[in-house]
Amino acid sequence: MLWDVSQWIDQYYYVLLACFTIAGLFWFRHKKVFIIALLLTALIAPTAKQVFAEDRPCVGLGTCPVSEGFPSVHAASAMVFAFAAIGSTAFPFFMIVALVIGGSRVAFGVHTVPQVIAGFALGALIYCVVWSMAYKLKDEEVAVRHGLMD
Amino acid sequence: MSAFETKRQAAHMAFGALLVGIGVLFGENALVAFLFACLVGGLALLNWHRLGGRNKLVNGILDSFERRFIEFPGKGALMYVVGALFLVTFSQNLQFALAMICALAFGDGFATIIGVRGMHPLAWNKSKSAEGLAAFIVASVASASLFVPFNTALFFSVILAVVEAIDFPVDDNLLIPAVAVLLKLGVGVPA
Repeated sequence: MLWDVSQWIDQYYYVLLACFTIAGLFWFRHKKVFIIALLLTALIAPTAKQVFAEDRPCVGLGTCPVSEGFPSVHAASAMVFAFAAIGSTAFPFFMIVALVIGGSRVAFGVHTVPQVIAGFALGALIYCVVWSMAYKLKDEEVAVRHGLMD
Repeated sequence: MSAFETKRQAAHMAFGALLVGIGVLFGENALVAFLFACLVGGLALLNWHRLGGRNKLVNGILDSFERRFIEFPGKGALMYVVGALFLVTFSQNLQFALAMICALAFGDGFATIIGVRGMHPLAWNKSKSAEGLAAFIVASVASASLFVPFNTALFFSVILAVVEAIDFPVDDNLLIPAVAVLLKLGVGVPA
């Protein structure tokens, strides 16, 4: 069953990402922080893969993705959703989804556990950096003008 | 500095010492597992508290160590765990990660305790003092050099002290680990 779930998540990942992003824009407390963090994660995580250049556990197998393994981009973006859901009743859902997505990447054989946890750590760091900046700047003109903490 | 702030810094350093102890005694995997459990468990507890849930333990900890009138009680502790987890997973070298946790815990902790009593404000940031900067370097070098060579500890401590003393709009518990990892990637770990 875990394999089936993992395969389903892998097949429909971008659909899930789009649906959750739209849901988040209704649900999350700090929408702009969430979008900025998600975009930064989409930029930084693949770059980090190039820098660390660590192989996936499935390297050499036909179904293995061509990109490197460290860190997991899926895990990083899932953790951004979980952090963005803090302060809402949707948090348990997004936290569980993040853990399931991370676990599915390991079950599917495309990442090791350390690669997934590194992805979680990166997503968490990026969200917290953006959140921290928006919070510290919230009385500054730029934050007020752009409603960063909205 | 108030007794409350001194207590906060002591807790900051104590948690850092706990992380170092786990890393030394049980290894990298145990430290990562502990930090990840703290992250998930801490997030769940803090979110529940934020939604109105009340628990004597959580309330007691927040009342003892969290500043008043803060948007998200427990944010500082959360940032600390996130920063430490990032440091350990992305350093890919346990000794270096433990050294930087020492910089984060003891360097930042002593910089705050000593710095508020400083009489010589920094030219680039009047809210920080030269005494605090020096305290960061001394405490960080003294503790980090238990895990990395003295020259490495000194190099990273000086850079991180300067970065910490600049008024970036980012929490120090995130900034110090991020800069440490980027510096390690950029220059390697000098002998």
